Amino acid sequence: MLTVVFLALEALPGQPTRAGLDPAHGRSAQRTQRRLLGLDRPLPERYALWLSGVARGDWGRSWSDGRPVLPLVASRLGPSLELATAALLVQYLAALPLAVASVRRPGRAVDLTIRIGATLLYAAPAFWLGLLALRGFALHLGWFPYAGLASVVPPPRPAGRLLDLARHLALPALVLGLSSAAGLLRIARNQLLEISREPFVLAGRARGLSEARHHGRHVLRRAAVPLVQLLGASLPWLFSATLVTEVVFSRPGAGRLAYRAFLARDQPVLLACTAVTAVLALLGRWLADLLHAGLDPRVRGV
Amino acid sequence: MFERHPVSLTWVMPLALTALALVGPRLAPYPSSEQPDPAAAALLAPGAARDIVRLRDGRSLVLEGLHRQADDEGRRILVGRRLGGWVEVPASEVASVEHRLHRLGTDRFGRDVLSRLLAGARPSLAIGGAAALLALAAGVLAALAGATGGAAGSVVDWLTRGLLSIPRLFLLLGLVVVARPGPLGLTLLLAVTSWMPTARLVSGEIRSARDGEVALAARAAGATRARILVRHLLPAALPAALTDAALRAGDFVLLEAALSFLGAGIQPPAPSWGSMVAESTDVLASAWWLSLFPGLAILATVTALSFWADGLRDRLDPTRA
Repeated sequence: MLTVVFLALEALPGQPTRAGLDPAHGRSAQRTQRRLLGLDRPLPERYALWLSGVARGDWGRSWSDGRPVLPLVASRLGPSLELATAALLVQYLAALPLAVASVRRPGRAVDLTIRIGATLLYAAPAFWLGLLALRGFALHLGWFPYAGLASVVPPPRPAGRLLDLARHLALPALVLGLSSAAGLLRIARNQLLEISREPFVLAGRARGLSEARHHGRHVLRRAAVPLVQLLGASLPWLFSATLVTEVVFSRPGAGRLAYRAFLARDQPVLLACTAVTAVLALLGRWLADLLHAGLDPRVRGV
Repeated sequence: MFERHPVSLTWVMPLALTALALVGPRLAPYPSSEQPDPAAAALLAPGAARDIVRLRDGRSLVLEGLHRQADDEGRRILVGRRLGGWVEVPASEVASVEHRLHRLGTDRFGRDVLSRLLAGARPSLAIGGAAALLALAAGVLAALAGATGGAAGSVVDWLTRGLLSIPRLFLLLGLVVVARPGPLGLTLLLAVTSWMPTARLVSGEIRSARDGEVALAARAAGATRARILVRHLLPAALPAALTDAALRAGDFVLLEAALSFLGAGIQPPAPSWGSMVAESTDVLASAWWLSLFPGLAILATVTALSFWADGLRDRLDPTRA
């Protein structure tokens, strides 16, 4: 446990290195502007200033509209976390059953179909899938709303409002979840395949356990540990994918905020978005490690 | 179909994609970024044809349904549709007429989609491929530096861990804002933000081979640490690193596409597959061909790379096949 916290803290100083890359090496002609923003100071000094600001909870102000950065980023985290969580659910709910179905009879039709499907899904860019889904399900069929977090005029009752939120969330979460499921499916399949070749599986089969019981309980449980670790390690990737999805579906989350900041060359906001998502990813990894410790008795004692 | 590949397939795929990147732009039937007549009807559906009439005074008109006839006074004229009306041009003013068939339609600016796809193959493939190779090299070097231990080792370790926990796309957007890179710079940025998994993998392999018999025998024979590292441990780690790099080659193509989609990659008017998809978002409902074809190009490339990587893994790493 202590090791994990220590590791997380040790990795943290890795984030502000981007402050070093920050406004640096300016070629900008607007000297005054630079002085106002503090860009004329030497790099280590700026870095120290930024760091001490961050330590006091002051992440600076947005260059485009002067708003304090931290509340701005914080207000956008909710929608992003919502989307990321929903997508994770979709991802695991889609990938694990398919992986189990795939390794039951390796090399047969079901397995091949699933693998080819996963390869294609993996190869399709998420932003493109998102646009296709928008076109098909939102524009033509009208099953889902086109963009945003909620309707402009929210439904009167709380239940209706919740449904409204869910309808706005469904399409991006499905697209993001399914497109990340492809990678997970590939890894989970390899792991399950490796595990099912181990002696304990043969022993179980010899004792007369049914196939379903086998894969459902024993093999999957063995695979759970590496999969949880994978979950923790894949969070930064998930946030990156969330950024693209938010842009495609116009969801005002942290990713879209970063995208807008990128377009406006608003470095403090961009920096804060990156740092905050990195910290979130670290926290997520830490949680995954905790979960890992819960699942694997060997780690608990350490 | 995944398990058995002919030996030659190892080389066919990278060669084919390299050839596409090199030759693709030359195969483009029409100029990819030219707008011959900005005012004329854009957004032609796949299969539509039209003519570009270049006049002697340097202007050019894009006309649909062009035909020649004689006017009331018997002069030869060219007649075609433009902006919903009919236009007549005296044949004496015409310098040349070019007939264009747009097999995959045109975009908002009347540019040929097929030509842009072919011209976009170069940045899309070259940047992804070069970045994958660079990241592989950087990862191996980082692992070697890490394996020497000491200060370099801990710096590499610290960098690896720090960079791995930052969402890559956020970081890349930030770096693009600061560096404003061209194609070469973009390749470097992609490599700089993606070498860590390779480094991690290779240093893991080195660590597990370090106490093995080969290393022990080499040490007994009096080899120096550096020699053992480069001659014995590194070759043992390379197959795994190559397989991993091949498996992730498609990632780089996808990442470049995502960056270009966000406007952080190849800058317009130069075409790339990702930015072509981005340009289609305004007319998503009406012009399906604009988003479909570049997306399919990316899909086909990455799928091909995946199959190739599977085949390569079977060859390089027989134990895991």
